[in-house]
Amino acid sequence: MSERQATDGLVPRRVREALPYVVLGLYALWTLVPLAWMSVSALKRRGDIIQLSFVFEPTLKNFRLVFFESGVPGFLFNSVLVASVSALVAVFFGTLGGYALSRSDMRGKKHLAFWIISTRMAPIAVAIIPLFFLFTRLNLLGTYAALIIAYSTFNLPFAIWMMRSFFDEIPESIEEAALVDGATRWQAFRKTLVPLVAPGIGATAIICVVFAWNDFLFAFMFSNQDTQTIPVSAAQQIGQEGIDWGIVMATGLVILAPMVAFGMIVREYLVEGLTMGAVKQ
Amino acid sequence: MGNISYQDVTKEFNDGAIVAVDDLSLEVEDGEFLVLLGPSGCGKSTTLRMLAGLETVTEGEISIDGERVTGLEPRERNVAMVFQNYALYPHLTVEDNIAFSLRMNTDLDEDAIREQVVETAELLDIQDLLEKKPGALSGGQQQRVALGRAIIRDPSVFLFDEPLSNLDAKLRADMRTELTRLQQELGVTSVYVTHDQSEAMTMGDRIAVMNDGKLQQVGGPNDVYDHPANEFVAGFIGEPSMNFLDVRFDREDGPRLTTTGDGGSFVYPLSEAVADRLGVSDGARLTLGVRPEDIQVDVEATGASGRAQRTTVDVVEPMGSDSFVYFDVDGTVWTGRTDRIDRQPGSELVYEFDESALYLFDEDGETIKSIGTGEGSFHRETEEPLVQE
Repeated sequence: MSERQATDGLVPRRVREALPYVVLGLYALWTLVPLAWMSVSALKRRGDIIQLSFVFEPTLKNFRLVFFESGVPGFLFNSVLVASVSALVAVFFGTLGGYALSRSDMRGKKHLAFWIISTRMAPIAVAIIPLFFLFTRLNLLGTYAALIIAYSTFNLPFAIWMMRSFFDEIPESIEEAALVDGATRWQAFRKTLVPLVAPGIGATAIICVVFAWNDFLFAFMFSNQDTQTIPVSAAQQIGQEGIDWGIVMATGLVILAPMVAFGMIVREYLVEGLTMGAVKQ
Repeated sequence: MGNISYQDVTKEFNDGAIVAVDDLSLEVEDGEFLVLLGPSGCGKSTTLRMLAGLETVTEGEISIDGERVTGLEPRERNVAMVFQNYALYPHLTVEDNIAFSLRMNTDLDEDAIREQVVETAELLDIQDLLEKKPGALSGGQQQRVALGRAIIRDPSVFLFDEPLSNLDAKLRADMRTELTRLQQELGVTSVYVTHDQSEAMTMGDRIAVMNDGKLQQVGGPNDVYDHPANEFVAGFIGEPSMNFLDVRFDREDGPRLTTTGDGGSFVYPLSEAVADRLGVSDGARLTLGVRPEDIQVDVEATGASGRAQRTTVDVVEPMGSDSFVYFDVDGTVWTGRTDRIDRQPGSELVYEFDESALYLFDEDGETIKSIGTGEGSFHRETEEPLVQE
């Protein structure tokens, strides 16, 4: 005991207590400064942008240009469509797969589970060329389907693993009770298990949406003028003939805002899902 | 209603690496309360779960009410089950929990369901909790909801998987009484799994004792207590448990049992009458058993029976109404349950037990003699085994 106190004494209490705040403060700065910069720049006129000054006359011109005189609204729609459909697909199959992996008693279950997650370990770049050939052959290049398939397959292993751990938390006796009470396996799954893992389903869906929403590489390779998502369109604003930083920044905010809003709305849900712990019975 | 029959049922796990239930045959009569008793891992829960349809049967047949159910889904068996952790649906209110099986199994409209739920809730005195979620209830209340969920089905069989083991001692005793009352009121055949022998003794019409996947004995609580089929049952049933000692049976110089331990002094003379009926040859190695409550202490060291033994007190535990006295018998610690006594550790103790209280088991653990000196006490005399098929 005395020994431990002596070690504790090496770092003064005040420093020890302050340290987390300092570290987190630095991290917050690191994260927030670019965002603040982006927000401020989006409100500046072209001439003001290169000035490192906070004194300027704010304007919404950039946003007007983004929303009414560019293709951004259409790309935004593409992003929403592709992200939500691919998340739905991944979560649907992820829930089924996670349930099977959690409950079944088959041999080699651990190996199978590892193999599933290992497919996610390869970097996106590795999958791009084979997928590109595949989509070319199937005439899917430039379609929504290409992006939805790419995102779904990339998110699925992750969704399976997440859902599996949520199902693991739920005592098997709850679904057994439902089976004895007269439910079929599917009914037991739908009526007793799915409601219980709903926070987990939500958390998984959010993460899948965020992945698809933020993706650049897949979208860049597999989409065309009509189906491209908003990160691709943002990148294309940085063209050969001069960059209008105001518009780029405004587009950046348009990409960011829905995710921030989404995150705020589902924050508690997300925390509940990710830290579900034992289901109270 | 429902009688249950297990015929040569075997359950293996991991391709036969684990035999959880080994060739079990058992009949439960209509309306009977049968307790499956045994230590953890003895296969009693698996036996129950096979009846519910939650485990498949590797070999053999199970039937309920004469109908083979071996391959049927749980929902097709018309059984209701109460789980150890209650397994209530956490996202549903108490009302919806209780109504769940009616919604699954019947075409009743919501009014009729509601009516039945209220009726069941009143029976269990939980009518005030119907709007609550299980998480807001105490353990005892959750237990009642789980019971309600089982009762409302009007099933042909109730299955209980250690339903009281998560409750505290006081509540457990109350629920025990209530469960017995309910079962008698409803008259539904019940199979109840427990490792707690006092639960088994108080609740069961009959007790089926299991060990290592094998059925050891089936019988009424007092039968199993008085005439255990083997050493395992004798040791498992009774609290504190039976005292054992390895002995040798000698006939020369008058029949007697002598300890086989080195330097032991335990000698127990037998009457000719008893010795003749044991059916044991001279020099046979046996295990002697005696229940703690059959031990008398502070007897005269030179009594006429010659069965009084001297020893030293290990420790005395006052239990209020009586005392447990622990003492040494040739290297093993025996327990005596006596009237209140106060004795210092290490002090001398003279004890004895009557010949009728003597249990004897052979080297395979099969009972040779159980309590009493009448018929049924000498197991090698009776042809029919005490295990009822």
